[in-house]
Amino acid sequence: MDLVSPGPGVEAHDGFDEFFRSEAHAQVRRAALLLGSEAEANDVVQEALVRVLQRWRTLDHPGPYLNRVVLNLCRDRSRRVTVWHRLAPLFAPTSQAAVSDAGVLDDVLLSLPYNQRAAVVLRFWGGHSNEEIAEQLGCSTGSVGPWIDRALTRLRKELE
Amino acid sequence: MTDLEQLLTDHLGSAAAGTRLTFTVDDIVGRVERAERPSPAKGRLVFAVAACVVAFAGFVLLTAGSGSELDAVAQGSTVGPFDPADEVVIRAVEPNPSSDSYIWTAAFGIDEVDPLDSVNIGRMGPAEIASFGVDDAGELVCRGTVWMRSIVCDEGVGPKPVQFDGDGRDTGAWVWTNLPGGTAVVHFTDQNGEVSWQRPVDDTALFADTADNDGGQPCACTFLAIDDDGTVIARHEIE
Repeated sequence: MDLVSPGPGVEAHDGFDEFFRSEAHAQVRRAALLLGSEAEANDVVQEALVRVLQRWRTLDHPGPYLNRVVLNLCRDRSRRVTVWHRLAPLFAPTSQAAVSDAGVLDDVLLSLPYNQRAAVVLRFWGGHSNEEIAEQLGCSTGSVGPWIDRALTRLRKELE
Repeated sequence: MTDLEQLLTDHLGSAAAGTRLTFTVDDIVGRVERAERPSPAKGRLVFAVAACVVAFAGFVLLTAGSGSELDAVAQGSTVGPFDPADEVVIRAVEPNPSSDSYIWTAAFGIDEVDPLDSVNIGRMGPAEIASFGVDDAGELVCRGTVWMRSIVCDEGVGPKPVQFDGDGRDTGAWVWTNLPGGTAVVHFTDQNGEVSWQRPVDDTALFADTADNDGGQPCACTFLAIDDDGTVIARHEIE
């Protein structure tokens, strides 16, 4: 017989461990792509998870909530993060050509307006549809396609 | 999938794969528990902060109208919750007494911008204008929506017909071209035709141009900050 009953904090956090294991690393990876900085990404996701945990008992769908908080925090941070080359250490290109392309991709991706960058990451890393991207970014579905098109046009031009 | 899309997919995948998670679930739980724990110092801190706020508010009231350069800007302005019925609800920038920066007041939340960076960008709807602060890096640093009746500019060209989606967030803008160096003045007038706010466009300036129209939907705007020479020094796209 277990004589030690869980405290209110434990009950309140029930299930959060599993949620953390399933979400945290993927969120950090995505945030790093959006911010170009592993450290910033960890900060953002940690902050977002704190907010999720504070509302854990009242959130019916913590996953989408976490998504939205992370994306919003990334948007806020990206206004201040202008050091584009922060992304460079994340990559380990294996050839000179790869060095060149990776560098250009890094620079262009991080110089894109946030919505374009986020749309590109959500599409080409997350594999999301326009509808899903629009829902996560809180915009109209019709905006997503043009954002991605513009980003690709810019990338294509820079890589030429 | 095109070659570029494949390259991008591979590139993002490679970058993401190398990203580490540097905190644990215990860090999260610990932060929440610390935040929820009552602090004996908290009450004293709240009281001290409240006292400082009251003292500062008193100082501001006592020194109001002392003739700073931007007093004229604030003349006739009211700051507060936006109400379309208000005659004038705008106060774009004012000096931050504690630093060299400007604070975008209630209209724009709490963002602080560098005066050398700050630009004020207007966009008209029937009675609403959204203002944006864009820094020299082209980053949007603050945004606010205000209500007013008309806008008149001495110099420059504008306004263009604009689309207006109701929330003041996107599409449409004033277009100023061939800004004469240092001579333009923007006047915002209330519904009685009285100038309620004006600002010399003395350096980093405005503005914006509408970009492509996305099939009749609210479209993107490119906001430009233009210096006295007409050089674009900052750019930001709003989608």
